[in-house]
Amino acid sequence: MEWNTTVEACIRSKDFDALTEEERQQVLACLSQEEYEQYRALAKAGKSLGDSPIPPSSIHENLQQAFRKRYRRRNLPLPTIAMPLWQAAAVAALFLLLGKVVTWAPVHATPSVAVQMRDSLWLERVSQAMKDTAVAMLKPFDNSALAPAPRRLAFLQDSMAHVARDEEARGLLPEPAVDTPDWARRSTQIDQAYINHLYRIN
Amino acid sequence: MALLQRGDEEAFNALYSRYGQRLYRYFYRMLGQNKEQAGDFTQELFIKIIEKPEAFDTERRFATWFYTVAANMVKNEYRRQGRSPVFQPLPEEGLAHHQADRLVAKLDAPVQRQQLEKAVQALKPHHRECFLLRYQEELSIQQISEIVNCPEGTVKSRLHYALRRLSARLNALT
Repeated sequence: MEWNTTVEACIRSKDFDALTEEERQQVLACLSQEEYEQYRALAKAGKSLGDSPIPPSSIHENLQQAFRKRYRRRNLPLPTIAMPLWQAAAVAALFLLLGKVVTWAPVHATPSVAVQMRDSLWLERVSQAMKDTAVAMLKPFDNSALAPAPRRLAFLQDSMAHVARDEEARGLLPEPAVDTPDWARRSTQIDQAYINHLYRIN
Repeated sequence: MALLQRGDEEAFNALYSRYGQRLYRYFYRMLGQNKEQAGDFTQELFIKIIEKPEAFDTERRFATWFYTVAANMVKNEYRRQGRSPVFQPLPEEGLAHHQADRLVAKLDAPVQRQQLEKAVQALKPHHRECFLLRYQEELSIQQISEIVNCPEGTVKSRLHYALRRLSARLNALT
């Protein structure tokens, strides 16, 4: 007697009368019609066993509480990354090492000062000895603007003379910072007399 | 499960409403119709999901995985008790096959339903397990074979045996 998949599937899903001729032959090869109908009734009854019993509602309530307790922190709308503990420890150690190696203190450099006039703007540029850093300050240039105080002017002149000497000694102008806008670039030799003139007329 | 793993309570409630009752019934009938124990086991299994959702093997169908865990819990309980739950031996097959009409006609009635419950309880645990998973929980033969960790042929054989024993038992009672 062979109890194959087809016979079992038929018992589960079809009454004897609903079987096709082929299925019926397969069924009758291993079961009588009475046996088939008995098994079919049991299969249907087995399905009806699923109607009861009903679990007590306290189970669901307890589980909801447990769920809330477990995920309380994670309900915050923050993006989280799950990673193994050893990876988290490795990342933390990396940051610590970086903190030891990298110097976070500001770089101090003695600035040199250049003054340039463009259209209606005074450009007072403080350029550092390092070629790739520069700070520019803009001041309105009109009749009400005050010329630099004598001491300030003396300082600027002295600084510019110093810069000019250095650059002259090297035979070239300091390269402007690559991120210095075009209007702030010093493209010509600084004319000390011209600067003095500009201050004087103000 | 992905939502549940992210702490989505709605996902958990949906999971419970889909499987809570089914699992409770499964435990109830596999653990000798003990409602309290069935409740405890149901709760324990869901707590496992809450505590360690990553334990779910995403390569497998959820129902299969779920019932595999449940079946293992039942087996552990049998082992803990040191024996299988008490079951009454069934009369041998061949008892009144001619009474099929009577059986078919009466199985829907509440009294017969009670007798069916008793007859299911009287099955050996591995036969009862296959019967319940197949006809109560409506899982496929392949799923059941994964759950009980047996070849499909063994599952079919157990189903045949269970039906034959139930049929004999019920016919003897009527």
